Amino acid sequence: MKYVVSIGERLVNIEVRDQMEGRLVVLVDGQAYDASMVRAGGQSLWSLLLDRAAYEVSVVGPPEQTSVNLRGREIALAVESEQTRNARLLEGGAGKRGPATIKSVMPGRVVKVLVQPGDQVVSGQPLIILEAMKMENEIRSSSAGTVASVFVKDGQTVVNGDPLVALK
Amino acid sequence: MAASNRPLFRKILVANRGEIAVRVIRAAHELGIATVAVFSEVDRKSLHVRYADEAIDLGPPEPSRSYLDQGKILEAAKAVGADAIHPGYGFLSENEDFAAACRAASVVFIGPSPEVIAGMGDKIRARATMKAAGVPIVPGQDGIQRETLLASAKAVGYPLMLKASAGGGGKGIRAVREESELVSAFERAQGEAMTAFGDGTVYLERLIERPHHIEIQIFGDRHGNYVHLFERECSVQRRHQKIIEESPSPFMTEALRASMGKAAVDAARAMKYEGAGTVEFLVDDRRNFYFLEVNTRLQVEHPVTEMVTGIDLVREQIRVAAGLPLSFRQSDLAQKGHAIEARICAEDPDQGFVPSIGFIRDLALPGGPGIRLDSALATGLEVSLYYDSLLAKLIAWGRDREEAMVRLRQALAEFKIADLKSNIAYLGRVLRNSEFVSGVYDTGLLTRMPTPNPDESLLHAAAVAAVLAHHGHDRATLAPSAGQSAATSDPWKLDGRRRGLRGGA
Repeated sequence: MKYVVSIGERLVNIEVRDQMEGRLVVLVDGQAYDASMVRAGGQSLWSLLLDRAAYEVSVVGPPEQTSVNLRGREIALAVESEQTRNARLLEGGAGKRGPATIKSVMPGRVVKVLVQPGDQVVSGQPLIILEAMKMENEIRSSSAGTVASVFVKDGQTVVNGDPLVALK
Repeated sequence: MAASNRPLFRKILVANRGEIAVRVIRAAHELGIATVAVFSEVDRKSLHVRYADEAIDLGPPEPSRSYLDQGKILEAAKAVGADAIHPGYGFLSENEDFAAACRAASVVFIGPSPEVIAGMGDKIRARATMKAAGVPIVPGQDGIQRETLLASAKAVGYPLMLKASAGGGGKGIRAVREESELVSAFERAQGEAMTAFGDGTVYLERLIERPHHIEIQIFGDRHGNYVHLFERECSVQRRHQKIIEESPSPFMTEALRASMGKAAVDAARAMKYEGAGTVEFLVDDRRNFYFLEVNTRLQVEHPVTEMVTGIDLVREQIRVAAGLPLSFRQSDLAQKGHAIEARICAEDPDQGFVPSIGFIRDLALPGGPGIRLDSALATGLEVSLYYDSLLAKLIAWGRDREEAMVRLRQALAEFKIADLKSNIAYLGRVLRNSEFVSGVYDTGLLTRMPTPNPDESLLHAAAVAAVLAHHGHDRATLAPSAGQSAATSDPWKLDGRRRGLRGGA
């Protein structure tokens, strides 16, 4: 199976070859490694060997939004099979994704909405100030774009998962 | 020392949760004192409940109806026959009404008197007390009204800080660089103070540019003994909250330590301070120091002091609260080696440190020489939004700063919490940051920290790990083996040796 892993702007091509006798060969951008990965805990903790390099790894989240922690580094990435990726690119044009919706990650109260529809925003820009646990938290944009709609008003209470702002 | 083998108290009720409740229970048990935990319904599985001798259900998770409910806690103490209450930090630890209610109920409150708590909790009164005791304070103005705000600000001079009089924990604080920001900052600070403390009183202080946040641990007893246990450097802060603390401070000189130590002991004596406390100072780049506030409780970062002095501060708190004199004099104390603490929090550093919630499904805990973990972590625990995001404190001791740093870095690399977003990797970045490593840093450190650029080999390994984890999972969901539940089947089907074994069974 072939996969494309996106780490920020960076793309890494991975091919997994399930060999006979239980050997597993992984090609990373064409370079072959003997790989072995076994569980080291419950659902998220693994021990990975790439040739002789050893890693204890936690892998959390769905393929499209995965967080990997190894050797004290946390790396955010997305995994897609080459097949799915090609189909998506054909459908939506060059790497385009649908509109992004920023959702609340916690229950709280909207203190202030900082943007309005039509505003240009950059990645990391504060969109909304949300009060939770007596602290005012800035909810920031996960990507650059234009604000398509704002779903909340000042003073409104939100729960986990409520949409806050849609970008296009 | 106590004349008999009778314990100092019969039973201590710990009016707190999380790692600090565990810390207090340990100290009490070591002194032969029985412990009582209290818990809200979401904390039923927590470590402090498991470690205590007795545990009492306080009911709903909201702090106001559980850990902050003075009536319920005093009632619990009465029901179990506890003769002392340790408040930990946060919650009721700096609440003078609670300390007074304990006194009225003939239960010892392990901490200073209600009068001292009240005097220091009101930041405006505290500044006046310190000024009278000859301790230097930051130039500023209180009695701030909306109408006179502009004039008061002009008198203090820009840049300045707006602070809540009832404040603490970084709440109700705003920096103001110029007049145009003043009114909105005032409203935000006042609003936040009102929500957090029920008191919207704010005051102005001149902003000390690029300050060091250095605090002195103090201890007093009812026999008139007052000592300090040196400094903690707390300049690594985000949103005015500390995340890394160390002792000794790399910024400290012998002369500065002596004068700050003396000021702190003078302050303790002026307050007739009983128990453990902390005098916080701001130190400017020319090593002038100014009184900031007194925390009338055990600090989160107390372990770094314990590691370099060898004194168990919680044990000493209990002894002093029982009426014993301090077990050490100033001349007995010395700083040995270096200790650094990192606060492990459930939060997302990429999203402006918003608190994260979820289940702890997997845990890899660090160890090794000089490593101490004060933790409330356990697999199966749920982290909710009801309480502070602090999960654990990782402390490294070394003979010098370099050794403490490399130990902490190694321990952070071993430390993994899944599936909860935490700041572990972020703390590792701080520990590798050249400014932090050099020891020449101030409270602006984190705002200047560059984004990381992991090695190519790590990116490759991460990509492979993600693919294999998801790849194996895909197969299991596409072709589940008949009769196997998701919980018992290992979705990982690619490891040949294990497959071989299973096939042979």
